[in-house]
Amino acid sequence: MKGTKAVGTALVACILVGGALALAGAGRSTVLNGDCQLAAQIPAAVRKGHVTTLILQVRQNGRPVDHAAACLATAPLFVSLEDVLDTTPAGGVDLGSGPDSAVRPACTNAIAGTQSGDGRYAFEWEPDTAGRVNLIFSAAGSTLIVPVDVGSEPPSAIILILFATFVAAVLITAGCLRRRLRPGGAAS
Amino acid sequence: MIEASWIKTVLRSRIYPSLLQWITTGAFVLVLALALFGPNNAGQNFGMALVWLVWWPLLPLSFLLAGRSWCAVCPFACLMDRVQQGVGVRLPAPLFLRRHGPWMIAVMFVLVTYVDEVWGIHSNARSTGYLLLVVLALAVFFGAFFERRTFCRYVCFIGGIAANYSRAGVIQLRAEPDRCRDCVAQPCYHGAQDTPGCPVFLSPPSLQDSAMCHLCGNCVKNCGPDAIRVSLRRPTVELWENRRPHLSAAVLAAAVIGIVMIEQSALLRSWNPLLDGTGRMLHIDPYVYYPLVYAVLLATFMAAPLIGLMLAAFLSSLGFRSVSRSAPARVLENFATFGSALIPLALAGHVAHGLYHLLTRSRSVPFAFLAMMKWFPGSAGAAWLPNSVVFLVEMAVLISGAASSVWVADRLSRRLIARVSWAACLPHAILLLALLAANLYTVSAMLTQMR
Repeated sequence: MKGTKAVGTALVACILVGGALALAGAGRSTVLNGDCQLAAQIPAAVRKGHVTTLILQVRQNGRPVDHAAACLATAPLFVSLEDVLDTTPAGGVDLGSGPDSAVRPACTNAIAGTQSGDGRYAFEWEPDTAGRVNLIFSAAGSTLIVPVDVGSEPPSAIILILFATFVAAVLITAGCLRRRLRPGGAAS
Repeated sequence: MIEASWIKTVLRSRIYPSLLQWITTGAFVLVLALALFGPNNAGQNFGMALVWLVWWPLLPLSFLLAGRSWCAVCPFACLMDRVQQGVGVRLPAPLFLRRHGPWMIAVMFVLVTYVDEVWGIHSNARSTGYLLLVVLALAVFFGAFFERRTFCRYVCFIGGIAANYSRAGVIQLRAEPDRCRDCVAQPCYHGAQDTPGCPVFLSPPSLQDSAMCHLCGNCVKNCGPDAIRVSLRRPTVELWENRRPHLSAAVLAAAVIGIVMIEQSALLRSWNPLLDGTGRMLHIDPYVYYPLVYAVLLATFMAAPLIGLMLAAFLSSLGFRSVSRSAPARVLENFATFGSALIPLALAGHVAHGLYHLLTRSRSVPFAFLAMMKWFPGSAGAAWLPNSVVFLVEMAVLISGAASSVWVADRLSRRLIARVSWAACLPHAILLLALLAANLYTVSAMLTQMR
């Protein structure tokens, strides 16, 4: 039985260490094509349900490109449970509500960018999903894909505290009751 | 009945079920951690994918093929045992639970189904985490204060369907009364030096059905005279041979048919018009008051098979009264007896629904695992098989379930009055066919929708 417990404990430890390493890792890549150079500024922390501002810088031959129809869309990287249940159009365009803009007609089912300086376009984005999302920026015939990890809301602290308190209270009460009912009795 | 000595060898093994319990406990801790702290995107959360696309769809099938052996390796039971060893007071199970346990389990199952839909537990990692915490808290509470596995026997919301489906299952554990006659110590019930007694308060010599046996192997390990027999049997045989039908089992079987129907219906395009219609009927906005509207619809879907069974029992009891005095002439007795015949159809509906999720979505499980490792391969499908094949599989399962139900009703009738009485059986046969037709309709509507 001791051997079984040791093997079991080792398995649990492996699973937990693997899970912790996985949760800690991170990675990001970008793809550039077309004649323009696109560069996106993404906030360090993007969270589901929170409005965030993304900035796209559009340049051609080193000069800023103004008055382009800049659009932002998302695409899922792989078909997942959520994608199966999702009703968004093929290609994964689903960004919630974006700001109204003169260039909106060019950005069907996507958020239109608002020019906020020389070749700078701002996008107000409210992620409606968590996890890895591919953001597709397009402007002046060029496309940039930026994978972003959208953070989830943390678990409710109240629920975690309630759970821990309840379990602690149960264990302490049961321990005391056991000593009172079976004085000197060890675990059987 | 075929004696399965290899199963007995497994049950007698010292590493069963402890090794599997440790593995499932490790998996449970991982799932809980991912549900609480991982991405709240069901498709990119490996824990969520494991629970809702693999474990939950396969669970009903496991009861059919392996009895309640899941309960033997369940992580909650393992944690409960550890709590009991550490601080357990070991009070006897409360009288209320012993009297009303099956009903309480049925109510808990319906409640969890309701909460799942209203809070979107299966698509929300945090909600799944909270549900697991609630079940864990209950398991710790019962493990700390009450003896053996009171929680598993009288409280766990899966217990009701597990009991029903295991009765229709292919594994049977019984004791040989001749060998038990001289046994005074009853180590199978009370336990021995190394192995505790039956965790769910069963005494194998008086065991008559497979509803509660967890196949943990404690009785096999403890039995000196080697009186325990583990056999493979024809599916559903226990449903007509058992002479003590349970009203709660019949009610739960009918309710589960309704629950599976509403789960299927919620995937159809006609679901929103149904919500709108219910909202209009109640004079409320169905999307603002969704919990209330869903409660009404859930109650209606569950009530339909129950009312149908009650009506069939009433007509059937009239039929029985005309042919035999000893047959179940009372409506409730008829309800409980022939309610057993609904179990195969309920099981088939549950398995078919589970297979739909398993075969059309679970291919994303490895990708969810890779996503956990922050590794995102290229585009990939979530389905293992084309939709048309999956729906054929679903229909085949449903039809075989309905055929088994009709078979059970026929055998029950033959056992009760030694011949088939059409007047007594026809109402139940019509009910079974109507329920099959309703199930087939939702499956075919789903296929049409996905084309």
